[in-house]
Amino acid sequence: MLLNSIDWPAYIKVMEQLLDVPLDESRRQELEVQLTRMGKMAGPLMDFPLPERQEVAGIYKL
Amino acid sequence: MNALSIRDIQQGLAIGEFSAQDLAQLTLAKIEQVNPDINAFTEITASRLVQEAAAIDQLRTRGETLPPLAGVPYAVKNLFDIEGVTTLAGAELFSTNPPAPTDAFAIKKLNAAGAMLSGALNMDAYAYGFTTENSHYGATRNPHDLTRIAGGSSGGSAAVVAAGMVNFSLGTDTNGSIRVPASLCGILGLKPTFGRLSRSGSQPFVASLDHIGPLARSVDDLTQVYDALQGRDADDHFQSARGFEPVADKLEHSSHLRCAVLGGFFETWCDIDAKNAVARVAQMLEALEQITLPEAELARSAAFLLSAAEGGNHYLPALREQAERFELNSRERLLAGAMSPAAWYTKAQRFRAWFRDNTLPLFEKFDLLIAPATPCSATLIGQQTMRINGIDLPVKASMGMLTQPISFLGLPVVTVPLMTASGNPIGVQLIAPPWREDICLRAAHRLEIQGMLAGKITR
Repeated sequence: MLLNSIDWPAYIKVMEQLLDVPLDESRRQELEVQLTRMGKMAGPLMDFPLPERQEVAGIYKL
Repeated sequence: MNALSIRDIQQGLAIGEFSAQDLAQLTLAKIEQVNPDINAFTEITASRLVQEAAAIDQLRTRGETLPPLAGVPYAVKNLFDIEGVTTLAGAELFSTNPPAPTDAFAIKKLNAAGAMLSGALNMDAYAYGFTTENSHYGATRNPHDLTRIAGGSSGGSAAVVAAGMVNFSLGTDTNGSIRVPASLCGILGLKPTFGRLSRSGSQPFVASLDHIGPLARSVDDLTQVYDALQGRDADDHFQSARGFEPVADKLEHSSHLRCAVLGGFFETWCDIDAKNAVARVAQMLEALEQITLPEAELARSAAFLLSAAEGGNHYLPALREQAERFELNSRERLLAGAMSPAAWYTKAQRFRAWFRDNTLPLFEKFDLLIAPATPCSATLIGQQTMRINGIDLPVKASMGMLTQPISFLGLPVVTVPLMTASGNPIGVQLIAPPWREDICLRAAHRLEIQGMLAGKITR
């Protein structure tokens, strides 16, 4: 993944609309810091190959 | 008086050396004396403590058999529901909510065992943090050094025990929130197997990862409280169908434990104090081999992303409508989690299953794994970064980096306290296979009887 090239301000503006969370510029800047940090963690995880049939670990019981 | 062990209290009540009401009054006096320096409590339930003590003394007067934790003072992280008290979860956001109508399941269990509740304890807001530097309720200070953090998110739970205000406490651990403060405050903490203990009646943070557990100053105390907390709760859908598996009578088992030290990620991201503590424990437990967990760093990342997404989604409605009431340390972290792509979350959940399947075979060869609980001992209150492995890491996010992969697996862990050369405590994780809390506790007991562990009252 090319996370360094992600346009986080654009992503934040779309998510702001999608989740209906109005923000000011200082909060957008802090969000960019947080999402950039998360993106750095997510990159290697997304690149890690899992078996094709690997299921989620989530618990759901009836 | 709170230097007494649970067994001391059992004996003292049995022979009439003191009453439960004596213990309650001494507890309140100690809290009044010590808490202003520590800032561990957000609510002191004095009248409840006195009433519960009177009920125990009535049992004594009638000559009835006392329950196992009779007269033992304790307190709980303020995300557990206490009847008649507003559940804060460390957040101003919840401070205007009505009082809880009933106790959390765990408090009901402790009440049935005769323990006496003294109050609710400070924590990181929403349990999202490792320092208990709460901007609304204040920082909880480390009883070993008031200029240092207590750790978090169960910082009040660790500090109140280390300072001798109560005998034990309850905390919760999503990514390390029992083990980190236990490490930094120099006491023991037990994070049981994921799904072992009911979480009903506690404010959730990350349902996929949340655990509850006890903190105490001795292995025997920790074990007795753990035994009292066990029990099926039909209302907790995340609880596994395990029977009552008491450990108190198993601590003395002398069977050999095959122990190994976790290297790689766990050796890289800690300082010399943590390495020395691990080496001392390894020597005592005859752990000759060092092994690595497969992809431990990815596990830490996956736990981080999973926590951010679930925690963020949990608070999204409030982030929309009451953003001004949020703790600034975590508001945008929560919102970033709420905005994170579903692909990250789903991959983290799939990786979790892979990580489990590739880690559990290690227990065919070993009974117990040993790792540092925190990268270093307690940092200063307000300190933003800590230098580990030549890199400045953010304290708030990184103090739990060595606990995160283990709770992501859900394995049972006891954190044991050792003293560093500088005089600050640090914890070592004793990690066992699923459902084998007895192994962690037995190993901790062996270290304790060798005199290796800290865990003494510091105030």
